[in-house]
Amino acid sequence: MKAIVFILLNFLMYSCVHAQAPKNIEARSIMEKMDKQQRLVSHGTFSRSQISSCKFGTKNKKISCVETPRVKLMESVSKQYGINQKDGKHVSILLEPASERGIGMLSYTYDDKTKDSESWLYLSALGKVKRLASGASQDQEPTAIFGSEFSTEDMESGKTDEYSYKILQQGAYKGREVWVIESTPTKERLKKSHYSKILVWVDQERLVPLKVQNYDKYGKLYKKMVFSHVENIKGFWIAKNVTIINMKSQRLSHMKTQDIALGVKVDEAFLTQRTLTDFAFREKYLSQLRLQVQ
Amino acid sequence: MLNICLICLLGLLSSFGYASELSLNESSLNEEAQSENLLSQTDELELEFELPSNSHPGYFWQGLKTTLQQDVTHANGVENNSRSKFQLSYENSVVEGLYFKAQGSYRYFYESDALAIAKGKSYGHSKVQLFWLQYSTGPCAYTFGRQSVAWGEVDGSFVVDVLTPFDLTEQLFTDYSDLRQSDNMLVMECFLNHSQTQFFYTPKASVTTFTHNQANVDSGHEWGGRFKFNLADFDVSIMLAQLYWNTPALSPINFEWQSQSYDFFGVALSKPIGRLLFKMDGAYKTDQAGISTADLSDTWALAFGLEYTTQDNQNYNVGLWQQNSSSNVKALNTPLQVTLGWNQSLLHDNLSLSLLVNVSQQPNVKSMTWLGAYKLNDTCTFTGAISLAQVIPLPKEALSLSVNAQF
Repeated sequence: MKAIVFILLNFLMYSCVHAQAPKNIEARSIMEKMDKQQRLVSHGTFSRSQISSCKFGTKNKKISCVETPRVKLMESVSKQYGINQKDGKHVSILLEPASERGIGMLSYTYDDKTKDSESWLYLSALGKVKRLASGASQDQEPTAIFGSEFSTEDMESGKTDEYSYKILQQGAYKGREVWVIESTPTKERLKKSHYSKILVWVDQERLVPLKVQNYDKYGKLYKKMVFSHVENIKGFWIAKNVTIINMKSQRLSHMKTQDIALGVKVDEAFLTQRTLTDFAFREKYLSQLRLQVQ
Repeated sequence: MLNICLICLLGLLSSFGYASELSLNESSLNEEAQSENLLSQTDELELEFELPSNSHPGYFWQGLKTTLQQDVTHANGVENNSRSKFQLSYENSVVEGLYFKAQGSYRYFYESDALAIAKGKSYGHSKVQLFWLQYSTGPCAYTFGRQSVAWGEVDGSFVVDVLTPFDLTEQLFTDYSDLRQSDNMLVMECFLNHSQTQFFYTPKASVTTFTHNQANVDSGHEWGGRFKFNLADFDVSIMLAQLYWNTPALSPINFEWQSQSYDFFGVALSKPIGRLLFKMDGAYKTDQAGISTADLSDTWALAFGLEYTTQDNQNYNVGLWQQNSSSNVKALNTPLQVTLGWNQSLLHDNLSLSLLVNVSQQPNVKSMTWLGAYKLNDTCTFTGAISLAQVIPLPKEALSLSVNAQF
């Protein structure tokens, strides 16, 4: 549940960068620029996202669900704070499924690795706000998000110092000029990672990933992510659809950004516990944010 | 014996999450990627799936939720449950700044159900759990109508969580939304900086929690408040209230059930320390009575809780609570009670498992409950519980099964 806050915004951030792309730059510069843009995007963001997960099968080189997908729908608001806007406040509210409707999560995260993140969960069935213990960010193991194939590690930002980068190839991919960049975790990072390396297909013009492949600690392909419906919103390229395919579990998850508003003014009071219990206040504020959807 | 079983079980459980650490031999990494054509699309699989499209939030029917539930409990005593439930709930924003929520249910208790046996026949019972309107303006929210209010931090203890206690006619563990008793009240809550100030007023307190057939017990209005302060790394609450006993006592004078008002002073706090969460509740109550004693006494109660969340999201918790009479009325003393718990979600969050152990000295009970909830899909959930209790002098086992569908 804690991971709710990551998926809505960080994934958008991961899949979007500012429209102006640099040329002839090193792999690390590309990745650091993408990472920096993530923080800009999340500084005042409202989104409504749907995550669908299912077991899949392949037939004639086509992938499709072989069972009815599980669907989560949620709305989320975030704002960045601190030096270089590396601290964050996020709130997410579940809309679907009916059995989880109204569950809310408020989370404060800090760039300072020694400072514990703070989280509060509103359990609608109990009508109670509960503080959660989560530990410092350096202590966190990757966990699945809502039981989907997305994990917190898939959406992390601000960790570029923990990887080395190399451009493996460049050329045309699906009609776009791309760099294929290999990210290799440092030894320290490897201890808390599920991946031994990550390949990212980066659109050279838009600086947005088109594909990501994650390899397990035996070097085998573990997960594959495909980005689509890339749109320019307020000068930022955003992939509104992301599909992650887990080759081991034969399951996939698809995240669709139904609505998004960037650069919105987020009232400080909204990112407090009040939003979890004062429904009239929350709805009044969210209805104003919904009107700003681009 | 129970303790040995518990230690074994906890050891076994912790080993599930003990994933072996794989060492990486860098030379074993797949280097093929560097030599293969990563830009080729010939081996790419095409995504072809249709996902359900959610209708746009905002339509009034999206706030409607229906619940169907069937509960069966078989115990080797007489406390069997056999009941069905139909529940409707609705919530939505009426206009800007105004929010409405309602929840009502109808339960049918079959002949073999303990409550039906007590009544002498099967019967149906309807309940309005929630029916409130919330108005939010400036820094304050006003909630008027039938609602419940939860105080306190330590789960499973009722040291300060006394305003709207658990409804003991409900099936435990299955649908928590109906588990708490509700009252008609006005609640005002103001949010200023890092503090929350809450006031409540109840015109007539509800004082029955055990059956649907209790005789009328006179009660009056309840009022009070809570001040909660959220500091950087802990939350602290102070509570003051004038309340009525939640459980009526049998008067030895006229042999009638009665409830009396009392003053309540409470404090609660929770503080996370890394992966640990420390919780504490404390309360002082005036004019308390045992279930069948004429002696009144003030009481104090304390509860401590500790939770630990592992890196793979297993949660272990322990709770301690005790109550004592300040005038040595023995009927009001509750010796130290201990609860131990564990829970974890598995199978892509479709299966959640919990273990709860309770050790009580008065009454002398040791119990252990295994709870499993499996989500068949986004609508249907199966819940099962196995309870073993050592109640002096007789052991008791119970098996509970529930099916719950929400849509």
